[in-house]
Amino acid sequence: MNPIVQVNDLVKQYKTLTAVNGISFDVQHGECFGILGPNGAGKSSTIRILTAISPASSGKVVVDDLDVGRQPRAVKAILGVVPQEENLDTDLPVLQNLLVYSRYFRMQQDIALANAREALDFFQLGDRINDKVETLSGGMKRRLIIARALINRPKIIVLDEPTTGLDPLGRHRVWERLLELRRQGITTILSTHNMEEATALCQRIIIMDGGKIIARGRPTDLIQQFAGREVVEVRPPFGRLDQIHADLLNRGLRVQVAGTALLVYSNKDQALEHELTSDGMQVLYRTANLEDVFLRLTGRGFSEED
Amino acid sequence: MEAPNAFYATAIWRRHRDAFLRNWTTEAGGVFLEPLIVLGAIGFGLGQFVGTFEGDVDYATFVTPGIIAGYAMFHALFEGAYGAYLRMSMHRVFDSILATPMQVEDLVLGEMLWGASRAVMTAIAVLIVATGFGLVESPLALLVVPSAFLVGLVFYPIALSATALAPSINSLNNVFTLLAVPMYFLSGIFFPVSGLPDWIEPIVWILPLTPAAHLMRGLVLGHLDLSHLAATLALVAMAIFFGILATFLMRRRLVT
Repeated sequence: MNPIVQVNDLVKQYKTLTAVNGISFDVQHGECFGILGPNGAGKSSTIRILTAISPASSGKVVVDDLDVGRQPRAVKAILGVVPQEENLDTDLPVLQNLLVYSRYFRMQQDIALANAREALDFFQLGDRINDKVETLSGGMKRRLIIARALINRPKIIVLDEPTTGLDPLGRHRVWERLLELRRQGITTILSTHNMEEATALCQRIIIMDGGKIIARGRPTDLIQQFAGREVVEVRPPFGRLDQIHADLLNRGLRVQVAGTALLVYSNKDQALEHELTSDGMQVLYRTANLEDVFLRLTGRGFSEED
Repeated sequence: MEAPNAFYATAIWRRHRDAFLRNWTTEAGGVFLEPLIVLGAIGFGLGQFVGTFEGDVDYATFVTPGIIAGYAMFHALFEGAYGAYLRMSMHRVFDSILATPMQVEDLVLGEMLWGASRAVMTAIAVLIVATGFGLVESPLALLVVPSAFLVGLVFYPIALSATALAPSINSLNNVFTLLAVPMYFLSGIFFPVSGLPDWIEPIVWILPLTPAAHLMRGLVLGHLDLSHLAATLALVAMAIFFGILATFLMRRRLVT
């Protein structure tokens, strides 16, 4: 079976900005695939092109054997799109939001009603069907947008920053539902600048920066490859950062400067810990994560976190 | 650009109908009160000083059909300017629609059908008030309903084009101050076009409200001739032209 999404040498050029600069990747059937990167990396542009909302400047995108540039209507019919911005229909109450949306797919209304009720129950909104959209909390609105994206029983659900702006509880509720969808075998593509989200949900990711893919693979493999399992965060006394940085590099360690801290990628080197602590420095051990991967690859942190 | 799909466009129209049916009570009062005031003040108030003209027609009877055309215009413009701008920019309804199989062409056609429906609603309201005042002379006036639909199809995409170009909602005021209000006073509604200076007359006939008012007057007074057929054809051509223009501009605004 062909990959359900094939992106080939995709470029998106705006007047003065190349948002996406020649990227290629495939997404397999039933997979949860993540596009990770800081703001401005080109994630949203990529998502908008592969959902046939925005035209590519060059390159080819095939979704379920359909050419996105040539058959946008057919592509959009099999997708469920969750935009970054909240765009629920505030003129309509909760259930009607889904039913009106289903008409844009020209669905039979009895089927749409059954799907809508099921999706609302799935997202714990079953008791709010006649409420105005404005009365919902931020987390509920997010879940309603995802429920709306399921109304046409899509083959692929595409989410652009699905939990940005949610509190931790709201975020975990969304993750739990997305994992359930993944278990049901729906192909999921999501963009995020939240490392934890990518690690929790995605089987494979690409990391984007400046319109290009700078790494790809399984989150755990990427972390292992670029950062190891453990990170030692060292905060040297004022003025000694450069010297200690040089010392650590001379010992053949993988070291990264991150603001006022040095990150040492060493897998549980107890002797090192002892030495650094006795030197009067603050030392913290933690598990390596995707942010470390990005830091290793670009020398920069993600500019925005939540 | 491609041809719109009427089935998809209907889904847009039904969305607007559903939203309208949830909120219509908030604007229902004005729909009847306004023509009551305007027809009363201009038709009978001003009419006392004008007397009769154009073949023994009293002023209230003369002015009423033009006011119907004017109302159809204003309501289509309001909906295509402020209504569409809010849907596009504030509530992002257009974005959500374009993430479905809907294309810009379907969206614009659906919007136009709704704008034309708003024009029909107001035309019916004015027609009812005018009939109450005894200002309707012919059963042909029933054809005001489809004609108002056509008038809406002309003016809605004009406003929608302005919306597609508008940097902010305030810039849409120009649609009214620079376009609609001057047209309202020049298009043969309050006095015959022949009363204008000779050099202005041909310009006025190019303004879309002039054929609209002319057609309405023929229907309400029951005098139809070939000029009304010409006016109808002109309106059809304008609706197609502005519809294509609005689609082009909306595509440029929404699909980046």
